[in-house]
Amino acid sequence: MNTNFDNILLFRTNIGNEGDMHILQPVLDRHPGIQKWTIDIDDNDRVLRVTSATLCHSNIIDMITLHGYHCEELTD
Amino acid sequence: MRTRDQDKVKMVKAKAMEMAVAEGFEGFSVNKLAKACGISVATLYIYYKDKDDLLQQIALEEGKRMTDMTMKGFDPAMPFAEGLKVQWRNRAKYMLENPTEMLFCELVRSSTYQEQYMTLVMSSFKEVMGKFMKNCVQRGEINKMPVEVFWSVAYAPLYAMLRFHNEGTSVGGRKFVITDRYIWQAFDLVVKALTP
Repeated sequence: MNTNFDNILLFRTNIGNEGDMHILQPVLDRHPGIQKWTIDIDDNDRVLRVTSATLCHSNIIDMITLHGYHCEELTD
Repeated sequence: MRTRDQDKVKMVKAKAMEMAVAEGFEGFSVNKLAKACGISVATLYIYYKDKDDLLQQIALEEGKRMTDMTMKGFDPAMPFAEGLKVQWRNRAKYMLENPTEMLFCELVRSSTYQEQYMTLVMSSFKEVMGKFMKNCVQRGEINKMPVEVFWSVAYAPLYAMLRFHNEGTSVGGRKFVITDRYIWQAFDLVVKALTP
């Protein structure tokens, strides 16, 4: 498995349940710049993890907040 | 370029197993683990995509380590008593040196993470141990029997004593510490039982 760890973007969000996932899934699935994404809804920080070689943190933050969710870069 | 610090990876693995054993998989979270390790949550999420991924990966790594240790120095062509002795020594060593890891593996076996884990563990044991048994039967060292019967007689006594040891007490709450003498006394009885 060759993962380039530099291409992993991490965010703290308030995406909390299956309903939220239904709204965001098509947006994230269809985005051509996103190779892979997952959300850990078991964790307090609801960490969104995106693998992308082309996008930066602000691109994702804009995309998620546009749908009414909180999203900030996970730095600590 | 982010690189993996092998010592940190080791610590994360050890703490994760410790936490899972203490709190179960339900109470486990990536956040808590990061705190316990004194590292950032973000660091963990770079390597693992979520709680399930983290636990699954750690379970598979530990399963691999356990099977490698169990198979060390073992050859399916070995005579019966000699081969079984190597197995006993390796299994006892793993369990005595890794009590937390052993409990973690037991937890995995009864959880939703068990499928991939069991496939891995079984695939490494099945072929080699199957060959060993077949060779022993062919040489007339043991009788032909279902593998479950063989396993139960061959290893269960060791596991029962190791469990007493890890719990510190045996039958009726008696204090118990395992010794080489106990291990090899039980081993001799097992060999006697399985030898026609």
